[in-house]
Amino acid sequence: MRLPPTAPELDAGEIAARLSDGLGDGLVETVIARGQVTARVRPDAWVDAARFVKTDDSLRCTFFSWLSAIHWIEADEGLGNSELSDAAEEADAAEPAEPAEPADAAEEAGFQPYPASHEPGTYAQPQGNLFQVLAHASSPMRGVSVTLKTELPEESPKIASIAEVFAGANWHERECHEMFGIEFDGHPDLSRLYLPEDFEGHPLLKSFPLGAREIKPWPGNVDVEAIPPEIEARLDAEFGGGSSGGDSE
Amino acid sequence: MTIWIEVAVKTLALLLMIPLAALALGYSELKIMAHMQSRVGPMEAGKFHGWAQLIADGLKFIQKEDVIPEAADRSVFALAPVLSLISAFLVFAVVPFGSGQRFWFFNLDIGLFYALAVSAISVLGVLMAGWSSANKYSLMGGLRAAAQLMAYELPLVLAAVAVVIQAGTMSLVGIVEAQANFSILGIPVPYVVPQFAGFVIFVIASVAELSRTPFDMPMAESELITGPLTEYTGFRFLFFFMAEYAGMFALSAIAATIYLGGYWLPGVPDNIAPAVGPVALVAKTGLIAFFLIWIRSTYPRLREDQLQKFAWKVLIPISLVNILVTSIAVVFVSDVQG
Amino acid sequence: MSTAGDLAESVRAAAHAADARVSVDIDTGDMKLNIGPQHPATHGVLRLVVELDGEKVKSVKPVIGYMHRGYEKLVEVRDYPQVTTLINRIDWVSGFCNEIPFILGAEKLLEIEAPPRATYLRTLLCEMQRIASHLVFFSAYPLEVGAMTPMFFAFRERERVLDVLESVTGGRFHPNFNRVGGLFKDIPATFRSECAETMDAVRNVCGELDNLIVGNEIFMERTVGVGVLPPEIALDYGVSGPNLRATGVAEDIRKTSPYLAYDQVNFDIPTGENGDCFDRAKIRLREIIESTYIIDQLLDSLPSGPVMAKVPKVIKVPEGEIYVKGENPRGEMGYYIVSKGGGTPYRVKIRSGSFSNISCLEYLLDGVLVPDIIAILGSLDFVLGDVDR
Repeated sequence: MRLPPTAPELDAGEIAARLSDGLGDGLVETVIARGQVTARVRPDAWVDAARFVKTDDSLRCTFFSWLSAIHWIEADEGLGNSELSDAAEEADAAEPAEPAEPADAAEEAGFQPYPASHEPGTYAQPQGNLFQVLAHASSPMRGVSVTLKTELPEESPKIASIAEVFAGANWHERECHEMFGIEFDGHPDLSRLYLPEDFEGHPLLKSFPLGAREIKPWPGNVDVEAIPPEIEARLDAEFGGGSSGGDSE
Repeated sequence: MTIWIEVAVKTLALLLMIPLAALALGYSELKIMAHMQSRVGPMEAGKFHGWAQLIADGLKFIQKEDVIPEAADRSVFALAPVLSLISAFLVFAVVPFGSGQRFWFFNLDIGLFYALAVSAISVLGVLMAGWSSANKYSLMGGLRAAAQLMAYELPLVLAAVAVVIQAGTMSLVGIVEAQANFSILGIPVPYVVPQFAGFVIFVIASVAELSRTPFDMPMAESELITGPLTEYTGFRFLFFFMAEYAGMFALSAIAATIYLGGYWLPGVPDNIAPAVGPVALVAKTGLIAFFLIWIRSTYPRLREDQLQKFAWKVLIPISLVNILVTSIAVVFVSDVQG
Repeated sequence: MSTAGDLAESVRAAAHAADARVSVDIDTGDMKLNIGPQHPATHGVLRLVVELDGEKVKSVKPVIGYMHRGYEKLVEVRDYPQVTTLINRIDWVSGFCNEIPFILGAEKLLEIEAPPRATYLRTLLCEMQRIASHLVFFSAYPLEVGAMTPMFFAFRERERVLDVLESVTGGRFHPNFNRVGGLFKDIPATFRSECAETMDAVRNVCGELDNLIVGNEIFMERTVGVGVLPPEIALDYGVSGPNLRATGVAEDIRKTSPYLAYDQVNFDIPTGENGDCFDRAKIRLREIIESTYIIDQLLDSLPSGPVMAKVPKVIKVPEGEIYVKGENPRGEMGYYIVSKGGGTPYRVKIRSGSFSNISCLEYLLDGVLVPDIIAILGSLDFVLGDVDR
């Protein structure tokens, strides 16, 4: 009875091909990174994409895993941790040519989360201040899973609810609504899930300050003692003492 | 004059017996369940195997603040625990602890009928507690208790009716004496042998009447948070606690009397019988009480509708058949003998 | 006192009262009952607002959030090694399993691979945590349906399992033992024998629990056919783990998308048929036994070598996004990690099993009786920390 595992029924390429067949114009691009398939779709194709992923005969992603959002901001401020992540500063320094999306441009030419130079099918992070909504579904017993992704502008983010397609999205959308302030059109009841009724603000926005960090900034080296030299020497001996940051290719 | 001394002594003994029975049974339950559950139970209070644990608990209850919820019906709330305790108290009055007038408080001609009737009063106390607490959980528990009483009082009485038919008397002393004269194929046996079905029904119905697992839906601490007792604290809770164990002792004693021969043991010479009688009864009562404890630590609890179904569809028909068979057998036997 | 007139008057009054009693329309309104947030059966601080008609549930609204600790926000200001400390506490009954997907995600983004010995030990400790967690189920659930004894049996053996976990990690609840690139240290010398002994004891207690609970008539009466969850509804709500497998769907991340060393061991995925409370309990018991066999296999084939890969002292994760999931005792536990290339994650979405598992409560509790609410809640085996995060 005790059997070894079976390989996934579809590999990433097949999933991607199926997605581009089925989603048509709604699909912006399909990114395969580290073996995982992410389909970026247009916001207006969000519900259709979810329904396609669920009902398509070869994908059959009937298992709803989660739905959430990412708040992308240009600068890594208001986080309280910018002191530590000098990499963030490096990132800022590396992309000085990309200032925040001009508001009028967004209004005129439509919302452009990625620069024109972005090559479809490769992983990149969006520019400017915006929301990315993600949903993940997988196909039970077959090892097939898909992440759907779409971009929303930072001002009055609004998207259709997929609670009709996946019943499980109901609570995830409520959470997303209170945490990011994203409106889900057609959701049966967007009441508070976690937060008290009188809570102000949306905690997972990058602009939302984390109280504890406001009182005591945390770069780690303020309230943490330095590693004693003898232990540091031992660690160096044990783990080879790689230079900091030397690993990022 | 002597009659008054006798009454005084007996009343005092009766008053003492309630807390004593509650303490003894409560402690045995703590220890027996602990050992069934691979733990040791209380070990500290009183040094020797925690014998004083329940006394300490009782003292603690008495010291606690007496809290009555603001919305509660105060007089009913206060009366309920007393009523529960009185019911157990009244049952004790008719249990014969030995042969001879010294060993019973009260030999009623309708002793069995009386015992079953007053033991049902305890549920009234529970219902009153549930109603007066002004708590939704308590109310639900109280109603469940009432429904359960209606369902299980019937098989309890019907099972006892068969015994009454066989013994030809309702007096508990009379039933014990009838068992002393009863034998099958020359072997003296108590009524548990001919009335085995009745005995099982009686014990099951007693468990339900006492609201103990698996029939503890009215109390159900994991859903109704001990139901009617939710709002009780301090000595009022102590009353309920004592009533529970005293009631358990009383019903076990009734079962031991009518099915296991009570104070009577076969082959005991007359001159030591008075001394053996109370010991025999307590031992038989303990046996039944042990069985109740064993059931409690084995089974989950039945749902309210399931235990109703069990009472009406299983226990009551069986007990009716039992009465029928007993009646036929009694007529048949007396014909043969007569 | 009494005259004929008085008597006639009182007879009339009595007759009138009898008439009135007949004509009185008894008001049978619904009762609104708040179960929780403080209630013994809600495993902490879940609150159910229930509308009752007698004992029957007319509608139910689960209210969560009483234990929301904002982990998704907190991890954004912690570096990767520190995050482990936090995520240990999401589902505190299976702390070690919580660490795994996050650490694996960080390792994948960094393109570091833990040494094989570390991978095997992680798998082993994960299974041990699963046993401990399922044993908690077998102590809490019988208690909820009214049986007291199994709790002590299950906790007795859980204690032994936790002792073994403690001898390795130093922690009973929050091991915090995983590091990016491996494990904090190797197992102690006595581990093998202790582990093997404990597994025997666990298999033993499974037999006892099988007799006491799964084979118990009254337990079956209470659970068979109660809280039936059809497979399509379960998938739709994202119900995962044993609750999903009880519906007959043989989805187990350890099998369908193997991580750690799960592709190196053979094991069975127990599935149920009806998706009722009884199946959910039965499956967990069989999973414990499967886990003991997994541990036996891993002990036999444990590779030697270091338990920590070469990792820089300050961990900075390159730009990227990844979703890594694992099969926790409570279902699919996953982390969507977004890195902007710093020492702290930019955003982490925590997908926890219990959250999705109880989101189907409105469906499951519709029209059941009050005692069944408790039976169904308990059978879902949720941890409020895992729900509220």
